[in-house]
Amino acid sequence: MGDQPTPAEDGAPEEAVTAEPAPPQETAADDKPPPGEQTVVIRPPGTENKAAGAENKPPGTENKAAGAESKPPGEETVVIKVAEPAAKQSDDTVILKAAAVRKPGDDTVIIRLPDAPKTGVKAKAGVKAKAGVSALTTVRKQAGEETVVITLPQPPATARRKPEDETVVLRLPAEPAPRPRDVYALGWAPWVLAISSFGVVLVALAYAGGRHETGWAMAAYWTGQVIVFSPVVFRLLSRLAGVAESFVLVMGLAANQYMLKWMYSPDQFRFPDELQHWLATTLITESGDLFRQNNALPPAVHFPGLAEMGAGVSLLTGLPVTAAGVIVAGFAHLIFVGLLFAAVLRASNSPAMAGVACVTYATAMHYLFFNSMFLYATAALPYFMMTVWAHRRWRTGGGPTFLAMAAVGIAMTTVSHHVTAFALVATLLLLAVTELALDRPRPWATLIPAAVALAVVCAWIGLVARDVIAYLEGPVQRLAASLSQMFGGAAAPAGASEPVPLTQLAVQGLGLLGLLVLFLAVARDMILRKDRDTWRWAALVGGAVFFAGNGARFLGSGGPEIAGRLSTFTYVPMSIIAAIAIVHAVRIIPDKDENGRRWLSVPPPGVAITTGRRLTNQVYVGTTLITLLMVGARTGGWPPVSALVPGPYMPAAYERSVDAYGVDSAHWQSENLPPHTRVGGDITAVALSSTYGRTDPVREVGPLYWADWWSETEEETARQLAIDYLVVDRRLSESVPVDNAYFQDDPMAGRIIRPLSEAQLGKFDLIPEMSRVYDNGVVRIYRREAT
Amino acid sequence: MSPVRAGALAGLTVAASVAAEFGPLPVSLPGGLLLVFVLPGFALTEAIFRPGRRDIGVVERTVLVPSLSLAVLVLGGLILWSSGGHLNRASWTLVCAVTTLIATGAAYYRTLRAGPAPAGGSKPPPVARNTQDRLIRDVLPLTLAVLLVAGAGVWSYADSVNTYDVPVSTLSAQPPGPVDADGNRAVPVTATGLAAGTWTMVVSDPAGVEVSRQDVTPDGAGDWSGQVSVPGDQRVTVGLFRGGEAAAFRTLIISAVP
Repeated sequence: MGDQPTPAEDGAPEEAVTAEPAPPQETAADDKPPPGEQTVVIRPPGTENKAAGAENKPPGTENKAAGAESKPPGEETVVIKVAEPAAKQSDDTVILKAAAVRKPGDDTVIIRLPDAPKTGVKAKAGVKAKAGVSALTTVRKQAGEETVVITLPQPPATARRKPEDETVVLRLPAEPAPRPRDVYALGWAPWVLAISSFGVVLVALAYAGGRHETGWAMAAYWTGQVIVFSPVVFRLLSRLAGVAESFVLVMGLAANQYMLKWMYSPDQFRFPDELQHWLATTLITESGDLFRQNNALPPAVHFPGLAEMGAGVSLLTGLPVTAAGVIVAGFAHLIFVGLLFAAVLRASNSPAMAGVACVTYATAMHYLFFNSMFLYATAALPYFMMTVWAHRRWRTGGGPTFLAMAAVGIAMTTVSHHVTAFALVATLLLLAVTELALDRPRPWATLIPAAVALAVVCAWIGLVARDVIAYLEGPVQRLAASLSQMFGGAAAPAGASEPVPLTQLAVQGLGLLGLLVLFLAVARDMILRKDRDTWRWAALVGGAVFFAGNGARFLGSGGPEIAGRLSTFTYVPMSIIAAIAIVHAVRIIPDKDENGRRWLSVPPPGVAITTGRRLTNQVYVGTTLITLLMVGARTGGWPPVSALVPGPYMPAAYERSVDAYGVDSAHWQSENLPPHTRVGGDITAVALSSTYGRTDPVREVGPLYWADWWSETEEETARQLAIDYLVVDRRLSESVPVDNAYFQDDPMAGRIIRPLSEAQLGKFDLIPEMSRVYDNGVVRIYRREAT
Repeated sequence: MSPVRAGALAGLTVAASVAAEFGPLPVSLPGGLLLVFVLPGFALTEAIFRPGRRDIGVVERTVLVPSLSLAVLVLGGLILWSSGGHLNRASWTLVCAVTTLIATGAAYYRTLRAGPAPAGGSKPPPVARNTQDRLIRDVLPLTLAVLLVAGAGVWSYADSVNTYDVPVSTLSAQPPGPVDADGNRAVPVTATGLAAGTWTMVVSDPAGVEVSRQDVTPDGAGDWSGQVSVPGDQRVTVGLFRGGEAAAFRTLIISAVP
């Protein structure tokens, strides 16, 4: 990241000719030698400058210098031509023929190895040569593995020289000869995706099994999840995929995972937030106006990005809003993943790193559901990433076009989602600050995108979306209260925090521990190398914020949700750090240096790109770790473990609570009640009433339901809340809610040990001032006559 | 952008616009999707990035096309609405189509100004592609993948609909009318989703004494609507009974006049 100059005209990384089976990140690099260069410079002590000067000659000059005839008199360099046929052998031997008779005392050899880094491999006579350090992604092997020992004029033990023709034979690590390959070749991606699709079928079976309450549903679910995910990870970690293959793998995985989300509830939106945005979209299609009141989610009114997309698709295609929403959310999800891939690819010039970063990000807690749902954050995320990508292109010489693209991204993010807009400002600031801190002279221009973003977001919130401040006040206060409880010793409300199951914590903890190890390894590596790459440092800081944000996971019952939502943004840099660690095989346990120091030993120059058995082990371990992260995300993300597969009704369980009875009652409200009617109920009832029912929701009605009898207190509460109707689902008395709360702001949250009783739900039939005006056998609606 | 490509893009834009505006669903669906996700972004990408130069790669171009298309839809809609416009099918079609056509013109103009692209360049040499290999390595598995995913999706949709789309029978009442001279009120009552058969509606007072009774005959769709007269000063129960069953199938409670 940042170590590869972005070519102004030479096109995108994917356009570099790749060689098979060499790791694509090497062949995609810009600062690798031109194809055909097969020279290594080995200098005697004190001749580095001369040799370096020779090396910096244009390729044509170098080739010319390679001929013995052109060697100027007195030059202390021997040029040895690589014998082409030998270089193409796939064994470990490279035969180097001297092109000229060396002068007495001359012990310099110039050798160019296939695809060696531009700086060359330099070795003094009799000492070990080490890899160049200029480009992390272009160095081919670990320093230790690249060591070439040549003692001139005596041949080393590993070299055979034929005195008569000055040929040097070196044993090198296996290096199959590169051969040109179609840069757009899909490689194994189609077959890997075909295998992954079998996983989609398995999960579809699991969902059907869940709907019909079969015992094998969960086994099929987890098997399917692993089959969808792990083959793609395995292939990407093998580092054999080029840009096209990696991109197809990543996008195919994203499409398959979106299918997993859609198949959970393919016929309609069931998650409350999706229903709220369904309403926002429907309001636009019906009225042709923006900013119309949406009782279900008032702040969404002033962030119409998603609703406009949905309404546009619905109006232009003739599809219903639900179908349009599914398409929009799917596209947004794929675009986000594509832009993440593009951004990391640009920054690293490594398709392996881009692919691994994307699959690692796919293990974010909310990736599969919240970030793929028809929610306004889903619409904003692609533009968040587009801004980051455009910022990168602009800062690496892309020109003002990319600054304009960043401006478009900022505008789109701002009009789509408040929290994503805030996160974008913070991200741009972080990128600017790291650049200012590390680069000399200070590039003050880097502050422009952050300043523009801050101005646009402030202007939008100050002039258009003022209500968002009050909307966000509640969650911030809850978070502050949780922090106060944790660090200040304040007493927690009794039963307010539901402990996370131990198994779930263990799986997530193991995954987090793995990430932490990778993070620390990269941090140590960067610090000891005195790394000055601004993007890597920004990613490192972002990764640190990710771990800090994960502390929120333990802040009461809402902790996992807060941590998950935070990780939507902080997991991007964390994924990049993990990809750096995995692809560059950063040493987790470093070797001791000559002073016996292990953790303070300076890493060898260059980056270890492993091969052979070590690579195989890394692929297996990496696949296992990322799969473990995925499992942790599925158990700690959404839906909750108890509702991982769809199934029969469960009280206050979001998607699992929406069925024909609730929907019918909501449609009745839509047809019979005016829009300003205030309707209270449990979480599901309120979600349906305020969306399909088009009424004004009253969420704080828990005390009215928990009361054993309707006394003056309840009447006063109802009066204060201006309740017109109450929705009562009789099934609330059948089981306790999975989230341990029937209602929003449930007074019994976290303390529910038995379901609401039939008497508590039946009391509404006995209240003289209430009429039961709707009954479908399961859901009943009561009207307060007093109003 | 060459004249042929520009012409094709403009033609496709016009065709998609006509399809989206006037066509039936099978035509408006692809037309609308092209207008929303492809055409504006494609034309803008061609116009923004310098002709003949590879400022962006294939991956970036691939993701920028839908990104910019959606940005046109959203920001164009915002500008249109802010200037007093109405967001409907025609206006959004115009926004997308006009943007596409302008960007196409700009791309064509930039190409004219830039002159012919330099020959050669650093493009990699073309690599021979064996069609038969491609068939086995790429087309076959990708087709398999698409078929599997599509099949799973269709089946999942059907299963979900069959599972959740259960018939719901309801009984509901509108707010009662005013009390008449006899002290009664008329309550509009509706029943839906009733199975064919004999249904009876019984009005009872708080003590359970039957006040009135009437037969209910649902129409072909299983629906019935009518009015029930209830005493204004009593809280009554309206029960819907199926056949000769003793327990009410659905029940309403109407409060007395407050």
